[in-house]
Amino acid sequence: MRPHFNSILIRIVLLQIAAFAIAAAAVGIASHLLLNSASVRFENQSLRVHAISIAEHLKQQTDGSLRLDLPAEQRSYYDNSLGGLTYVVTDDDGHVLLNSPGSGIRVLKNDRSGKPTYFQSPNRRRSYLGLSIPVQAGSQQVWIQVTRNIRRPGLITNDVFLHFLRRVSWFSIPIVLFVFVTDFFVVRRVLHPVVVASQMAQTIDPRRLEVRLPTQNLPREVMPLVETINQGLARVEHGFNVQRDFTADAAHELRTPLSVLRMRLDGLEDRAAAKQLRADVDGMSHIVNQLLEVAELENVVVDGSETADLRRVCSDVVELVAPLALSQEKDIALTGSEKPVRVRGHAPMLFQAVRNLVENAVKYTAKGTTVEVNVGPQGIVRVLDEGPGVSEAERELIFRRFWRRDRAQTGGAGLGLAIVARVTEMHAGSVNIENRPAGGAVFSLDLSHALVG
Amino acid sequence: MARLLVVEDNEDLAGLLVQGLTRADFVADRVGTMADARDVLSRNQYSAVVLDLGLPDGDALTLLRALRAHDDPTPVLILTARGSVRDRVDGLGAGADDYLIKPFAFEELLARLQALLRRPGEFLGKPLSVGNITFDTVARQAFVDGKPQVLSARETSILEILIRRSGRVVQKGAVEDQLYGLAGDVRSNAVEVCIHRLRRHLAEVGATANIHTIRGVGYLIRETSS
Ligand SMILES: Nc1ncnc2c1ncn2[C@@H]1O[C@H](COP(=O)(O)OP(=O)(O)O)[C@@H](O)[C@H]1O
Ligand SMILES: [Mg+2]
Repeated sequence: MRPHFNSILIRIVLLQIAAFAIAAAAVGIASHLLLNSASVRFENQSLRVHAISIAEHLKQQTDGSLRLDLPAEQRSYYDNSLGGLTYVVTDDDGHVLLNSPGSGIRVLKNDRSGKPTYFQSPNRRRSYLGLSIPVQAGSQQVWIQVTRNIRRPGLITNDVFLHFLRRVSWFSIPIVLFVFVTDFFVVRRVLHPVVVASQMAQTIDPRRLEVRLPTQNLPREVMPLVETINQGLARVEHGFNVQRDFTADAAHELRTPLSVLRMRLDGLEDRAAAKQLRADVDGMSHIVNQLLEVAELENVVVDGSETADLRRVCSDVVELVAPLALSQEKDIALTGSEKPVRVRGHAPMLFQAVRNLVENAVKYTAKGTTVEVNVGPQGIVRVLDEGPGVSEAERELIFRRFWRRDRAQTGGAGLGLAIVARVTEMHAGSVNIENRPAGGAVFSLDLSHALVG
Repeated sequence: MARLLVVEDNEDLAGLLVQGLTRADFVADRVGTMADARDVLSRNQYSAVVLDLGLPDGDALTLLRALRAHDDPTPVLILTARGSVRDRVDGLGAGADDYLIKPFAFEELLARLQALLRRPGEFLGKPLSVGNITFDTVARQAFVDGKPQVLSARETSILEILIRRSGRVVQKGAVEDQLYGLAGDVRSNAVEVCIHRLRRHLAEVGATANIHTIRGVGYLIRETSS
């Protein structure tokens, strides 16, 4: 259930229902209290009327005894079955002189001050109200006590209250439902801009960093959150752009002078020296290229919707590396699937990864050997060579930046396999190294989980 | 004489390019900004344009797109320092015929320019050559050490397509397409058979260039390493 309470709509509705219930209870209690005090006053008045009329009909007979001659209509009030009215007449000492039929006799200790006294049943349930008044009957001082049983059905206060409650619930239930339905629409309407903003937020990815959350019609309370997010996005975009521009500028600033240098060497008189220098410039260019690739891969993101044909990627790599292999008297071949092998991924990046593997295979093997690039239909590219292979101990180290087995060898910076590792990581694939029984290494680029179809 | 336009803002590089191209019997003009390039292109007819992408007054790709939008077919070779994965595709998408990433070997630039200029039926500059083989694209005639060779139509076609891209791989599919227009059988191994015959012929007459098979990809002709 808990996640449901995360909905603002449900929270508002629940809080409103709670508030409504508390208000209803308060109104109920207040009206009950008001009605009660009004009816007590009303009762007291009626008790007084009854007590006075009893006093009027009370006569002292000649023998000194008292006699009450109530008219029939009045007597019926004390029939016990009707209004729950009873009366008791006592002497000054509280001895009962007269009482209504069937009344449980309740006697109040008479107030010696001789003032009329209202009283009620001593327990909190207040089952009766009473009035005691002093009366002079002939020579005798007596007390008339009238009580009314307020627990009896048909009593005015109870009746009115129950009636009231029934009426109130009749129209309060539709009101609650109405509030619920309006809440639903009002909250949905109010939160609509927030929903729009969050949909927009879903489209943010490092390829679309220019996206900002819309602030139009947004509730004031949500605005600071959205504005803060937008400021954060602006900073991220700026950081990305700075990095990208830096890489582009660095590329330009490094490659152009290298071009100039290389062309100046063409004009050199000493052909042998020129040849050596050209090789040096080429080695340097290679390192610059790899450094730039590493920098660029830091802020490139793979778009999940792109696909690449591994067969095509490998064919392009072999096409590119073939002249180099041939010039070193090595053979190169593409084998495996003849049909396209589509994987989710970025073709130019996969090209760089395979290219580095193939260039290594060519570089670290002897003349007269063959490098084979095999494209498996399941999305695994294998680069097989006939070189020295890679020992178990080196298989982790080899992917580190700047790691080289032979640091004395020039021309490489140890970045190639770091690029391979990074590209593979970005495609959530894996690279494995094995040695071939007859000598040589096999580098397998496993993208099988990214296979399309 | 082919007239070229070099659009490059780096003075040193531009100067060296013009020097080299002049040595290779081209006439080369040089501008350093997009605005100047637009201006001279509207007034002159060039055989090809060497276009640097990083110009001070904007992205040269917009210039290229504008050119192509006006159906200007002038071959354009892009020279770029931006060898990044993103940029690589953009250039060709904008209508470039070829591109080279800096730093480049000048011979490579020359070879690519010559290939661009040698549209079938055109003759510009010197004939194509690799090792001691030369190929006259107008007469469609191959020479080895200056001696004309007797080759079948298919062998001539294959030699031409290989020699246009000498030192680079020609995909098997491209060679097949080349043969497709010619009469005769188009069996799947027709290309192999043809290449085999051509290779034997070249060896017999003492050519100093070899046709290599890149298994699974295509073929490549290059000077025999001594
Ligand atoms: N196919 C291979 N066979 C044997 N050793 C290899 C192979 N590929 C890479 N290595 C070793 O791993 C090291 C790191 O390779 P790499 O990251 O590509 O850098 P670089 O090629 O610039 O030296 C190389 O210097 C080499 O010693
Ligand atoms: Mg390497």
